This record gives sequence, structure tokens and C-alpha cells, in this order.
Amino acid sequence: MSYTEKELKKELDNKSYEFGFVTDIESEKAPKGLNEDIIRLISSKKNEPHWLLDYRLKAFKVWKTMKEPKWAHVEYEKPRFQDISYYSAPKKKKELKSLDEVDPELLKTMDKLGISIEEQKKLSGVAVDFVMDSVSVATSFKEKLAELGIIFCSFSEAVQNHPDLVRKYMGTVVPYTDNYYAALNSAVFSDGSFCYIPKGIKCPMELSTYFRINESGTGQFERTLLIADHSSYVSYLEGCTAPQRDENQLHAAVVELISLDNAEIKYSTVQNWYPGDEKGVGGVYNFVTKRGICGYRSKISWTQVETGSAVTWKYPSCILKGDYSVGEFYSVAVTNNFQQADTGTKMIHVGNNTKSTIISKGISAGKSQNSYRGLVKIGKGAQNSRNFSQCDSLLMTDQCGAHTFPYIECENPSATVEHEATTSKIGEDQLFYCMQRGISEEKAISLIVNGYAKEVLNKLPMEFAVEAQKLLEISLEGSVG
Amino acid sequence: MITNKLNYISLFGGESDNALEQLNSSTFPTRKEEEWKYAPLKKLKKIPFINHSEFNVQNLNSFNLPSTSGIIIVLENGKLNPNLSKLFSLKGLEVSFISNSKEKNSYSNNLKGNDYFSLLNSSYLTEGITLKVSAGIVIEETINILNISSCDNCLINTRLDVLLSKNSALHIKQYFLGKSSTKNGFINHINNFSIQQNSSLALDKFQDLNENFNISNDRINQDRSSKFISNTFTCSGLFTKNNIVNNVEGENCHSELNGVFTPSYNEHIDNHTLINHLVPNCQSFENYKGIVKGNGVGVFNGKVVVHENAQKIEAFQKNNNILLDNDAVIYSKPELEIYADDVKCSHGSTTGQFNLDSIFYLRSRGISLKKAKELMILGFINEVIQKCNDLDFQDFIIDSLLKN
Repeated sequence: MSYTEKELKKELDNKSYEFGFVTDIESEKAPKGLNEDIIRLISSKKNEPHWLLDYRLKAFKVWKTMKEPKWAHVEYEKPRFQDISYYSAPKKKKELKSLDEVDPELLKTMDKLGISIEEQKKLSGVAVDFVMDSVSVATSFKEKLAELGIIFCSFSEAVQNHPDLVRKYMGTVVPYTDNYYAALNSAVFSDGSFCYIPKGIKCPMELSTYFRINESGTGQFERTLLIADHSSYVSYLEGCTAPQRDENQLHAAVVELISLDNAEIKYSTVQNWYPGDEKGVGGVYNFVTKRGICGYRSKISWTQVETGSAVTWKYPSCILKGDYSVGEFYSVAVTNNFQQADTGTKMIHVGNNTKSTIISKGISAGKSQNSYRGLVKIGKGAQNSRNFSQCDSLLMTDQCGAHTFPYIECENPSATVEHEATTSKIGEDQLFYCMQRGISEEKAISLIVNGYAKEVLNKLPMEFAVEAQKLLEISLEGSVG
Repeated sequence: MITNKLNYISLFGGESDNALEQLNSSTFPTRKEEEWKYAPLKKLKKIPFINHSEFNVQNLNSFNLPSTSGIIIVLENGKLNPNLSKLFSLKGLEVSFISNSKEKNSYSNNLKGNDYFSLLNSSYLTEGITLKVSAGIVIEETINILNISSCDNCLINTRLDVLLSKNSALHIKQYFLGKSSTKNGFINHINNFSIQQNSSLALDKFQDLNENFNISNDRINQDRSSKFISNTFTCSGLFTKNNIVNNVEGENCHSELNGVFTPSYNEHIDNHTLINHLVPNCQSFENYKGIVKGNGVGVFNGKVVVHENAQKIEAFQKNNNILLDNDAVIYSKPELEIYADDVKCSHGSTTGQFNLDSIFYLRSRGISLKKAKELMILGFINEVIQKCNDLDFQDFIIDSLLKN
């Protein structure tokens, strides 16, 4: 007898979150709550210079006057900001020289995640900056990168070693007054990644960071700052998995990309935070501010595969300031069960002859809500700008929702702006075609969905493309009713 | 009283207490509200509105309207102008005016919508027209309703209620006109249509308001197997907002919302549409074309909501825009909100300028630049113009749109 859909559904209902486990590492935690003293504590723990503490305090002051945004098409219980511990760091062990000295627990975690540092080091040529909770623990390939003058380290290290660069660029793309969660992040950010590619350098390997929320009850407030100097190139990968928890965890990150003249940044994300269980209990709140700014003839390309999180609120954006600059956004967002996603992009055309492309593929299953919300703004002075947007949604069950909210603001007559969107379910004729050729329903759906998302998956670097396809399958199997 | 919100002093008698109460507790919309995000209401707020009932229009020649047959109802500054109107009885059609009605209060207490301008309308209604079509009657004659603003700073609150009983059909041409020398008149109108089983309603709306304001809130309820077609042509107006809410409550319905809008210097034309698909097996089409000149601002905000269990819906939404001048602005927001899976929904929006190759092609064949551009515009809006069955009216629309 063949494997029926019902059986698969049953199997999947019982299937728990694959990466849901908790690593037992002793960690140092700040008391719960948020006030100026906590911010001073975070700052002093990290031995930060005075200007950074001032920056945090200013941000905190602004945050207190702000209200939580309500416009997104999501419903959730408001995080209790005073119940969160804003600092947690694995207890400092002595300086590490080789992997043998790394906490064996930590190595185990990485094994479970399917990444081994040694393997990564030798085979794939990817330098991994591993963020365990809030403090970077292991960084590899640093020396090799250093030879080229590339700086790739944790944010706190950068603050200590390259304060001028951090001070010059931090907050220039996402100021602390930008929005509620950006202000919160600016006040309490714990750590993150910093990357600087010097003039004319093409980064020889894909840079990647694995984020993990580990400690129960700690919100993760990452801050990433990526600067590509004139005529340089970098491809940056970011991927996330989080352990299973019942309480909602807050993740409010800020990512700033600065692409100077003729530079190119490719930023890829696979997001697989814990989405909550089948009943919608638990799961991560993912409220992220990601934005990049382009100089003359430069390019920023965002690629994202969003499968996790209970609530996602994320709009990777490009400010196309320089003439001839290019912004791209490729996204696949999958929601299942009770997940809610409100994601999209903003393309702000300021310079002449700027180009942007938006390809967004939404897939909703279960009882989830998936929204695309995007802004294309052609400024008055942006002559001959060009935009093309396409946002398609695929509906898998009759209880989910797919929504499109595109904002198109065109203030220059020489611009050409196109937007199109479709919403439909998987065509019965397509399914029938596959099935009458002996392909099982399950396989056929996977085939069609993968084909549907191919345009975006193709943009991912090799390492991620495989993982992303796997994720897509796991997230959707059996969800067709 | 309401002076802090809208500067309006003189009141029409018989205002509705219920609406007034709600109006006083509601706030004047600001740009922080999503619905009014692109709408500048500052100009409207500054005007000291009055209530005026003298007739200034002697004949309709100055408006260059197409030859009209059928019933003509002219509301000038909100009052029925009997000299310009042509009323006669038709079998199966009942026309009544609220000013003659004894149950004025209960009528306007029947609130539709609770946004600021609907409440303002219900509170200070100047005149309301009710058209009732009996079951099984197809009205061959067109009903022409002209709403003219001919007095500076005049606030005009009007309403049109249409009830189509089972198996009936009606065609309405609705004109919103501003006398060319009149400034800052404000026509605040409500259309309230109820279309019962197997009935069909066609509405051609023409707006040429010059330097007057117009907000029109249209609410349509469609019952099973009914058809509603609305064609909206907006030539000019200091500030024009068309807000159409179409509730499709019965299966097998057909709804069409089309429009052409041509905001020019200092003008703002706003088109909001909402199609609520509450039941399965329906179709809806939207097609709006914008041509923006000078520093005009055009807005298209269309929304299709497919509610849970409303399967087998086909909904298509299209918005194309052309910007002609350097300061022209277009804001387009086609939205889809879908809670059912077996649907076919799509939307498209484009914004651009004349294709220079096409212009070159025409010019190389001896056509002047002006004429070439006209041809291009004609080709651009033709799709929507064709939706009107009346050829005279088509010519009139084309002339009016090209005039701007």
C-alpha cells in the first residue's frame, strides 16, 4: 500500500522541531528588566568606550518615547520588555588557540546543527563567526582574511580594535530614531558581527555567521555592520536556528550594509527560528531592521529564505543613493501552522539611473498568515530609474491567508515602475500531470513548490541552496489539504 | 461645535441627532491614517463653508454635456433645480426626494459607514434621491443625475439611494460638475446601492470639478447573480476622492470597477476601492488608468479581500499610470488580502512615460507631436472608455480628458 497523505500528515503533526534542543553552557546573566543601569552594565561589561555608552543612552531615551508599531498584518502578545534579561554571556574561558580547547558542549551543538568547524575550515572554505548567545566564541579563518586586510570579527571586538570605523559608520543607515525595535536594539545590543572589506578587495570566501538564541529568557539583540569599501566585493551568509521553547523569545536585530562606490554586497539569509508548535504556542518574535545604502555604481543584493519564527516583521531595504546603483531583493517566505509573517522590502531610489528588482515568493500553509509589504519610492531627482517587482503567493490550505500590500510612490516621470502579483493554489492540472507520470502527490508538490521558488533559491550561494531546499521541504510536507 | 474640524457654520434643518452625536465624537482624518496617507486635507480645513440655495446656472450648455435622453435630475448646490431637470414617470421606477419625505429623520438615521465624511453627510444632509426599480423591470431610459457646485465655499451633502429589486436593470449616469468660475465648493456625496438577485446596475460617473472638492463614498451590496459595473472618469478637481466599497454577498456575481483619472496642475485625485468577496464563485475586475500632468497627484489604492470559505473567486486588479511632467506624482497601492485557497487573484501596476519609439513612429508618418501624444493617450485609455456602451458619451469623455 502506498504512503498516503493522511499518514504523512500524522507523521508531521508528531514531528517536533528538528533543531530544538538546549545547550547546557554556564552563562552569566544580567538581572531582568531594562533601565539606564542595565545599559551601563552592558556597556561596562563589554568595556565599551564612552561614545558608545552615550549612543546607547540616547537611543534608550528615544525608545522610551516611542510606541510599538501596530500597522503590520500580524497579531501577537506584546513582549514584556521588563521581563527580559538584556545581557547573557557564556562564562569567559581562557583564550582559545585551537578547536580542542573549545567547550565540548559547544562542539556538540554545532554537530547537531550539521556544521563542524573543522569540516567548514578544510572543505568549504567558509569562515564561521559563531555567535553563541551574545558573545562570539569561535572565529576561524581570521588570519587568512587579515592578510587581505579584511576585518571580520564580532561587533565588540571591532569596538575595541577598530573604534574609528565603527564610530564612523554605525547608525548611518539605521539611526537609533528609525523605529521602535531599532531604538531598542541600539540601546541594548549585545554583540553581532562586523565586517570591513578594504578598497579593491574581492573577498575570496563566503562569510557566514550562525546565530543561536540559547539562554532561556534572553532576547537576542544582534547588530551587524558590513562595510564594503570602494570597488570591493563580499558575499555574506547568515543563518539561524533556535531551540524549542514555550515562552516567546524576542529577536530584534539591526543589520546595516554600506556599499561604497563600485562595491557589491550580497547578503543571504536562511532564517529558521523556532516557529512555535502546531497549536501556535511559543516561537520566536523576529522584528528585524535591515537596510543598506549604495554609493555610485554599487550594488546590494538581499536574498532570504524565511521558514521560521512565530511572528516575522522584516523588511530588508536598499537606499539607492549613488547614480547607477542597483538594489535586489529575492525572498521566499514559508509559513505553516500559526506562523505570521509580514515581510518585504523597501527600494528607495535617490540617484539617477538606479535599478531595483524585487522577487518575492510567499507560501502559506496550515492556519498561517503571510503578507508581502513593500515600498518602491522613486524620488524627485531619480532620473531614468527602473523597478520591477513580482510577488507571488501560493496557498496550500483553505485556512491560511496570503496578502499583498505594495506601496508604489513615483515622483519622477522618467521612471518606469512595474509591479505584478498573483495568488493561487497549486494547479490541480499540474499535480495531475506529475501524478499520472507516477510521481507521488508528496513528491509532486515538493517539485512544484521548488520550481515555484527556484528563481529565488538560485540566487543563494551553494552552501545555502541545499539547506534551503531541505528546509522548504520540511516546512511544507503534508501541509496540503 | 464642529468648527475645530471642518469650518462649517450654517446648518440644514432636520439633521440627524444620531449621526451628529457620532460626528462630534469622531475626529477629522489625518495623514497618519492609512486611508488618508496620501490625501492632503489641509486646503479643505481652511475653507469657511456656507450653505447656499440660490440657483446660478441658467442652462447646462456651458458644461458641454453629451446629448442626454431620459430622466435628468439636476442638483445645484445640493438643491433640486426644477428648471434644468426633466422628470417624468417611468413604469416600474419610483423616484423620491428626501426633502419631500416625512420621515427625514429616520432616513438619515439609517447610517451607512462611520467615517468622518459619511457622518458629516448624514448629519447635515442637503438632499437625497431614492430610486426604486420594481421586480422584473428593465429601465431602458438612462437616469442622468447632475450634481453641480456653483457657489463659492458651499458645502453640499447629497446622497443617492438605489434599490434594484429582483430581475431588474438600470443605467445611471452621474455627473459631478464644478462651475468654472466657482471656487472651493465641496460636494460630499454618498452613493448607496442595493442590487438584488439577477439584477444589473451600470454606473458611469463623470467628475469635472475644476476648483472644487468632491468626496464620494459609494457602497454597493450585491445579491446572488447580480452584476455591477462602475466606470469612473475624473477629469479635474482640486481634491477628489472616490471611495468605493463593494460587498459581494451572493454567489455568481460579476463586479467591475473601471476608471480613468487625469489630475493636472495643483490637483489631487484619489481612488480607493475595496471589493469584499464574502461568498464563493464570484468574479471581479478592476482597471484604473492614471494620466498625471503638471504637479498633479494621482492615487490608486485598490483592495480585494477574499474572505474565508469564499472559494473559486477570480479577482483581477490593474492600474497603469503615465506621468507627463516633471512634478507629477503617482501613488499606487494595489492590495490583496486572501483567506481562501482555491482562488485566482492577481494585480498589476505600472508607472512610466510615453514610449519614445512609438512617438517617433507616429511622427515619422507625418503626425504632429501633439496629435501623436493624443493618439498614445487614446490608446492607453481606450480599454476603459470602451466599457461605456453609449458612443456619444464615449466621445464626450475623450474630449473632456484630452482637453486637460
